[in-house]
Amino acid sequence: MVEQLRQKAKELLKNKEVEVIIGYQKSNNNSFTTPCFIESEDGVDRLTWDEHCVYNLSLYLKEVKGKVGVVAKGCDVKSIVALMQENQIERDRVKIIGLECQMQVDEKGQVLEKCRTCQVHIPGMYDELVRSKTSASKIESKESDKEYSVLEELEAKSTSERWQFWQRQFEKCIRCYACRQVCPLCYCSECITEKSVPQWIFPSPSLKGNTTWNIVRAFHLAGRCIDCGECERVCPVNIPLRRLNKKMEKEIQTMFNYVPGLDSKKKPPLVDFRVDDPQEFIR
Amino acid sequence: MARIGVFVCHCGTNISATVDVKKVAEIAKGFPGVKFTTDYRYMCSEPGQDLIQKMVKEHNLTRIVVAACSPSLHEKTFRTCTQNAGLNPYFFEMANIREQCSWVHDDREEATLKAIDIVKLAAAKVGKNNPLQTTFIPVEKRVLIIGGGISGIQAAIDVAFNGFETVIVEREPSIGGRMAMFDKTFPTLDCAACILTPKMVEVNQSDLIKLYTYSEVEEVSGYVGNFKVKIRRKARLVDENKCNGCGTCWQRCPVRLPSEFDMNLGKRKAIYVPFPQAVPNVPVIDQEHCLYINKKKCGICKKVCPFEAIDYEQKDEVIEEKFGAIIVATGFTMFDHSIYGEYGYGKYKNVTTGLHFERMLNSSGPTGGKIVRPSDGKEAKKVVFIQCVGSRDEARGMPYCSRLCCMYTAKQALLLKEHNPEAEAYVFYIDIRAAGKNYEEFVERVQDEYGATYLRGRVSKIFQRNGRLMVRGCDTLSGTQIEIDADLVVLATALIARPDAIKLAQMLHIPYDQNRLFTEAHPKLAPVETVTTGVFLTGACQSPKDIPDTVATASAASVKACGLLSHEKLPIDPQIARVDVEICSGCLACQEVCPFGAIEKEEIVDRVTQQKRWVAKIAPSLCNGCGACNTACRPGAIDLDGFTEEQIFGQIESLTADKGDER
Repeated sequence: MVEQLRQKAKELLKNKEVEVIIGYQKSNNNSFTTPCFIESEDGVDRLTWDEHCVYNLSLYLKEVKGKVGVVAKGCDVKSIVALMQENQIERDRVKIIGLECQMQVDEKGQVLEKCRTCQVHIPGMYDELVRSKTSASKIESKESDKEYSVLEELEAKSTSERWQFWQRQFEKCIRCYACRQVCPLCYCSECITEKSVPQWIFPSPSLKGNTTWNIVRAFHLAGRCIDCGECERVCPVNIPLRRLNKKMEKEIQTMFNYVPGLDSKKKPPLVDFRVDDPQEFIR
Repeated sequence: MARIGVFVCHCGTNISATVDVKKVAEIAKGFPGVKFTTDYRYMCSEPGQDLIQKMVKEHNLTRIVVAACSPSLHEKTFRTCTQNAGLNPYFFEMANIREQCSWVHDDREEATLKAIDIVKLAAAKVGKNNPLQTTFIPVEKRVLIIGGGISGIQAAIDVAFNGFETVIVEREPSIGGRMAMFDKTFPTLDCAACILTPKMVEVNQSDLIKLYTYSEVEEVSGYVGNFKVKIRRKARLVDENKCNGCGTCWQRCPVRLPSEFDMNLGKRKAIYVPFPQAVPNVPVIDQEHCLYINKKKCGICKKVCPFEAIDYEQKDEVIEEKFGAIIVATGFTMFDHSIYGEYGYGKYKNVTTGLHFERMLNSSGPTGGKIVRPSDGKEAKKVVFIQCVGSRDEARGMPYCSRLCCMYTAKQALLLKEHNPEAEAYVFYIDIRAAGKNYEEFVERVQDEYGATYLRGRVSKIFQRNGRLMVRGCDTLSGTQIEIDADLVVLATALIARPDAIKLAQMLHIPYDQNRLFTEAHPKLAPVETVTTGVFLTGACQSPKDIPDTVATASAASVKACGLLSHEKLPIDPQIARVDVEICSGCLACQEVCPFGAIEKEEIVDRVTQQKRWVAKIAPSLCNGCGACNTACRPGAIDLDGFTEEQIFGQIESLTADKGDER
């Protein structure tokens, strides 16, 4: 697969279809990978692909100007779709090298939580596709039909227990904003938390300010979060942010039958207005 | 620092009976920035307004709070008053301590505390108000009238009389609407055509009235003074400019079809004018049934037309025109009685409706004025009229009274007896509602002079026996069961909204009620206005109306429309959304949620990166200040003038200040 990947990248650069390719490279001193930006054909040998390629590289698409190629897993492509829906990147500027992905692992070698229930081993949109030798569909996990099983434990709790749970989590927050920086959909140049006139969110780490911040972020991602899980992965104090976002995803799916990142033609339900909406409630 | 004056109104005893206004004024003295407070019996009175202006000068006030009624009533009054005092009119806030306080509470102490909080909120907001300037937009001096029945016709005549251009869009091939189908009109019995056709001709002859018949409104955009309307002119297949209505084509057309105008009791051709006095007197080809269109056979009409007016290739045309105001006159349709099992599910041919009967009465109608049984064409001598079919029936029909059925049934019973003095008329009714000038007298006359039999009660069943209709019902006044063998049954079916009323309402952004009838801005004080400025209502599209009421609302709506058009320019509210392009991320969620299409995208050069990027841009004339974009904006780049985030935060902080920092 790696060879195929390098070959496709080389062709794209050679034919001047892209000026730069965003991909994964081996880390210097361990088995992990880091993002890399390749601008010449000679550089493609740096590209790699294995179960350690966890980052969502679509994060860099808005920053890199000109024609750009990006190496993307199924989940990463969902965020590219979402970015296109929100006018952040133009489809014709981006070449997607899709990768048939199986299961990615964390630094301890454990399969990532999101991968266990993944439905998009083959990206939903791509320009080039690198297939795997072992078809991903064959390694369906048992949990894959229970998309929201991760929420069960929390949903079983009472409202006050849940509130206490999250209060304990938010208490830990140090407001480093790593979650925001790594999120492909937190692309605003000025975040609401930085607004001072008026000040929506108290800036210093405090339970109230932390709670507001984390809840506002979950609200801003409702109907948009594509569940790449990067926020939770980078959180230095281990706040289970994926559960928060996953719950919002479930609510949106139940209410509007919409899953973000699957169809760039569809409108996210929370930013949709229709003339044929019966508007029964404002009669 | 703002110097705020607070003026607390008693509103007679409307407020002061429940709220201790003196205490409110006293406590308000301690609010931040408040330099003067007082209470007064009627703030909206001239002395009340003078008091504000005097105190502004005396105490050097820069912001005004009036604690009184709803802003929908007197905000304008006090804005002007604030302006007259030499301040920006938006340096004023209204604290509603009547509708939202005194009227809904009875505990004086609690209500007073609430009133104090309401005033506190207004004072906190007004201190952060920005001066706003009203801007103006030009007015397109034309009126669009949707619907060419009597109400649209009357409105067009009135608008034209005021010297403004108007366009009638009518979906049928001719104007005239339902009234053209009627025989005579109650209670004076003038012939409908005799009083309608002169108006139709007047419309046709006026230089100021343009007629788009066989046309439909397809899209409405824009706003008061500047509506842009797309109108589909359906292909008539006849050139309106060449045709002179000689009638050769329809005389020679071989296709005979049931005539909609005659309620399918008579025939028309595949090329036809709906009725002899049609305006314009230009036929239309029924594309569904024309032999040439469907089988490329025939083509007779084209061959015989002396003016080469037939054009089989003609296509629908969509035109766009601009209007300053719109009058909605789309009328009604009839309730379908086939849901009623007791009246035979619409299966019996001799169970008809008032509109069918109307066509039979008409001497130029399908039966030449003879009352016959549709089943065999024999004269109908015994006729049963049933009122309230689909009206006043919450379970299966409409909950409302259709208002005119009592009168037209009485009229039809009378005309039946005039056509044939031997005939018998029976009327089943629940109540007689004859509240109009000379209406009650008319119903009395039908019974006393013409001998119509009025039976108070419902019909429980209609069934057939030996080829006759048996009508079984009860007469609740005598307490007896009655069975009448009738030749003909006439149902007074309810007047209901047209099936596509909702589509039009959504196009025009006007609300409708649970019966799909368009809703007026205020049932008493703005009966022909809608909440969308510049869109007016007339006739039965709003609620069932008889001809006098329809004509009255048509004239009322045209006065309102002409009033708008008499201005060279219209002010627009400066309380609209504003984008901070530095913060805007260009996601354009705002554009998606804007109900008014007021947001477009604009390319700018970023101040920091010097790169081009997209941002949202507000069109001030389209923005209604609803705030939908405001809430959709994640980074908070959109703010609403008059209701800025700072103002709202100021309000929240004023209430929570003494409760510690909750952040």
